[in-house]
Amino acid sequence: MTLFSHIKLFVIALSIAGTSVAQAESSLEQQERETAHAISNANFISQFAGRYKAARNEHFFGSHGIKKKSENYLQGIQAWTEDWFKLLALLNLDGSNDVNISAIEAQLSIRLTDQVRALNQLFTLGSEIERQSLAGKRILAGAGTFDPNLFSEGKDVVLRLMKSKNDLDRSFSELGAIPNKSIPKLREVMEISKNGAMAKLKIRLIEKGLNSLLPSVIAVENLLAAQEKIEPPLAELAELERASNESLLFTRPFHLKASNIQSKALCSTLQKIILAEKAKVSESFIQNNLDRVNLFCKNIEDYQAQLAAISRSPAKLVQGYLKTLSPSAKRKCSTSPTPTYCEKFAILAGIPAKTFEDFPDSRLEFIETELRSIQPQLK
Amino acid sequence: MKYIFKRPRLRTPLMLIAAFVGLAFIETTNAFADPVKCPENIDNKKPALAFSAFQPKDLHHPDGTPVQSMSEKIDILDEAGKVLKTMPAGDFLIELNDFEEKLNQSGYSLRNPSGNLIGGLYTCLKSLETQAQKTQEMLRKDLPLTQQLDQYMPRFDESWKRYKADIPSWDELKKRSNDVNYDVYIPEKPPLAIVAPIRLRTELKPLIKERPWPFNWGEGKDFNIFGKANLSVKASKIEATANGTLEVSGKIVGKDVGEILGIIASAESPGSDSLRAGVEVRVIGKKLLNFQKSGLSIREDNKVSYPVDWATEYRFAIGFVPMRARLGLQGSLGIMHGFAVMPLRLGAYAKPFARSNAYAQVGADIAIGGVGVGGELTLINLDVPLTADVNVEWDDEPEIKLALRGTAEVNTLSGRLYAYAYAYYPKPWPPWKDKWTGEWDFFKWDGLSWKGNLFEYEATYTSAGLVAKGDLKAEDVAEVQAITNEIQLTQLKDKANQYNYAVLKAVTEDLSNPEALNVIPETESLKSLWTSQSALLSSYQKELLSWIQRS
Repeated sequence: MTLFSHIKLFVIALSIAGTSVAQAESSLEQQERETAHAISNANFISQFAGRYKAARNEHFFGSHGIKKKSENYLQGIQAWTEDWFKLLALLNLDGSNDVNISAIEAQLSIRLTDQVRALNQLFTLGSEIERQSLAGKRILAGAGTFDPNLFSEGKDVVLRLMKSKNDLDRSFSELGAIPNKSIPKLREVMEISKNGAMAKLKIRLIEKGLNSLLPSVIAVENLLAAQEKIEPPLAELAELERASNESLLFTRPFHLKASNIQSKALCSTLQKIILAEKAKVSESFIQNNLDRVNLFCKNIEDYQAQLAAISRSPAKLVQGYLKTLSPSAKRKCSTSPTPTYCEKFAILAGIPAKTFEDFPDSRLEFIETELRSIQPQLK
Repeated sequence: MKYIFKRPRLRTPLMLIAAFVGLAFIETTNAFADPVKCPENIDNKKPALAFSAFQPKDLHHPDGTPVQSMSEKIDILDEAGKVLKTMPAGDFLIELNDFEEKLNQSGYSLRNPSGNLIGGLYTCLKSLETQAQKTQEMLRKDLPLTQQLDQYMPRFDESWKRYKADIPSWDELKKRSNDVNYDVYIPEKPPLAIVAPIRLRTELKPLIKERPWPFNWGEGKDFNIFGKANLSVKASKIEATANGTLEVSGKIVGKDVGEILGIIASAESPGSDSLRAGVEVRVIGKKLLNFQKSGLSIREDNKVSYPVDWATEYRFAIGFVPMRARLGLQGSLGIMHGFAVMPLRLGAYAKPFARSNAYAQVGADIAIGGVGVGGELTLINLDVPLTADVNVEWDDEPEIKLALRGTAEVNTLSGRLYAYAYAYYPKPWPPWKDKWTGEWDFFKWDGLSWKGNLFEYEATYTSAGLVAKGDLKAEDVAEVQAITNEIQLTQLKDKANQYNYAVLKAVTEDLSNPEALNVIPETESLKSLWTSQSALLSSYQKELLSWIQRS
């Protein structure tokens, strides 16, 4: 065998050895890649399941979840409808022919006001349901999608998880759509209720032979028409006053300021609406309503003045708001797993006091708004 | 629509409700069911229907005229047309809707719109009424609960005894298990069963180590000592072997001595066969010792030594004198060896040694004054102790411990060996003779003298990794790295499996909790509630519109 042949054999042997080492390394690399993918997949499922669980436990079932809100909403609709039936029953004018139109007017006025307020509350609840539906769906959408075939182990579980997530998403959509379907109907009912009630009152008076009382019904009709215009913005102002009072108690400077601005516009509009009805309804009705508007507006102004009198910087006030919520958060967030709103609160509570002082107003307002969104869940 | 409730069908709504309430309890006891007309267990409950309230416009007087006001009195007739009761229409409407709502919950309706006919209940109405009556009687007795239970317990005991008597014995079940006439029920695998992963272990690969020690000493091509010592060890969790060899060859005045000393020492401890140990010694090509031993345990310590004498002819000239020499080597060669071989455990040492000097005998081919040999040449003094220790221990997991050591003490080719010749020759002036001398160096060198470690390697190999120390070569480091990589990969796989299992288990538990299962039913229930509310709103709306149209 020549020297050349020896070298050739040596080179072949080296390349074979090199190939086997490379193959072993390649196999290890391949296995390592596969293992890394398996961990990554498990991570993905973990976050997917975490999002599903958070959306389900907090946004679907939780004490402020869409289920509870939808129940309250639907029960509210039922009570509201039943109250309409009661109002109509009141107009049966059963019993003797001694009908007291003033008493009926007073009853109608009270009940109509209650119905308007109840409807406003339903609208607010309906908006919350829609927001909750979107929030739940947003959390689920962030979970992403995956190919279940990537999971040789536990494929049944991931398929079931996917289905559960899709079911939950659909439930959010379906429950979130109920206010959208119901609110137009509620508005429609509200709009014709006054006319329907007045029509029934007139018919019943005629049936009972009390035609002489029909002119009085016109006054009632005018009153209810005026009330119908005044009551919705007045209910909105009342809610604004309540929220402003809460903002004073919890030291929320930005919300109080915004409420004050909003109330000024609303008060001005309301005063115009009330005065426009002056010719059709009694002076006392006009004055009573103007008094209520003025009281609400003055209260809101006073609340802001009271907060300003504390003479603390917005940063201190927002910090004070955070500290006020802390005991509730400590009580509510001691459970495991920690709900996301608790995590959010912990992040805000973790901001050092010095940093708070350096924040611009826009950032402080953001923190106050976030705390306001968390506050109901800490109850 | 007329609502004329007829006696044989339904006495009062309350009675039917009582029958529903009593159904679940009474039927399971089979105490009152009519065995002829009715099945023993009746499940009259159907999927719930959405409740839709009856409206005042739906009410009519028996003569067909619509009810105008909820305060109007209406007559409730039985099937024969007899007036059972007279009551305000409003009260009747409330009672009617209350009844309809309860029927809806059980899947029935007074409207019969979806095939869930209330008439279906009448089939066994008599029996149900009897049951309801009995229930009422029982309740009327107002017995304390414990007393009622005491009454039922003997019956339960009797039933249980009858049931137990029918339970087949284990032997009988076993006999039936292969009988094709019996269906063997094997429950399906639960859809969300997660199998806990088995902990992965890295298999220990055979550890093969070899340490060669080649040598070649000498000066020029005439006097050389060369060869190699080698120690190799193979250890795995099922076997341990060690082999030590030494080959020493040489050249004297350019002549090949060939193999001066050859030694092979081996020890084997296979896990499932008898143990073996052996030593072979060759001196100048002749096998002088072939020791082989096998058994369940081998312990051996020995020393063998052999004299060596080898010579060759050599011609040369010192000056004008042609010379002839006989050059050779003399000495003793041998080995000290020892074995302690037990299953999966061996300790072996081999200490070959050589003591040899070169010598020369010379003569002149012509008559001269004289010839002689001077000097001394140590050909080779060599001690090469080679030791190998291998232990395979099992303590839950195998652990391979391995040690190779080799040292050497060499003194070779040191000194001078020469021949000389002398002669007297005449000269013209006195003294008349003079002496001529000449020398010839066979070999002259300071030699090589060395003592030190040839190699030292120790390793401990477990599933946690390979730890090696000593004189490590690049390949040893690469081996440790490769094994570490493999183990780390296994640990990573293990971690991934455990993590994946923990995630899937948590998901499974979460998906099995009532909240996960109730999302759809709760949604459907709320949708159904909305449908009812919507219907109620529509009915109110219709009533309003009717008043508006009438005005």
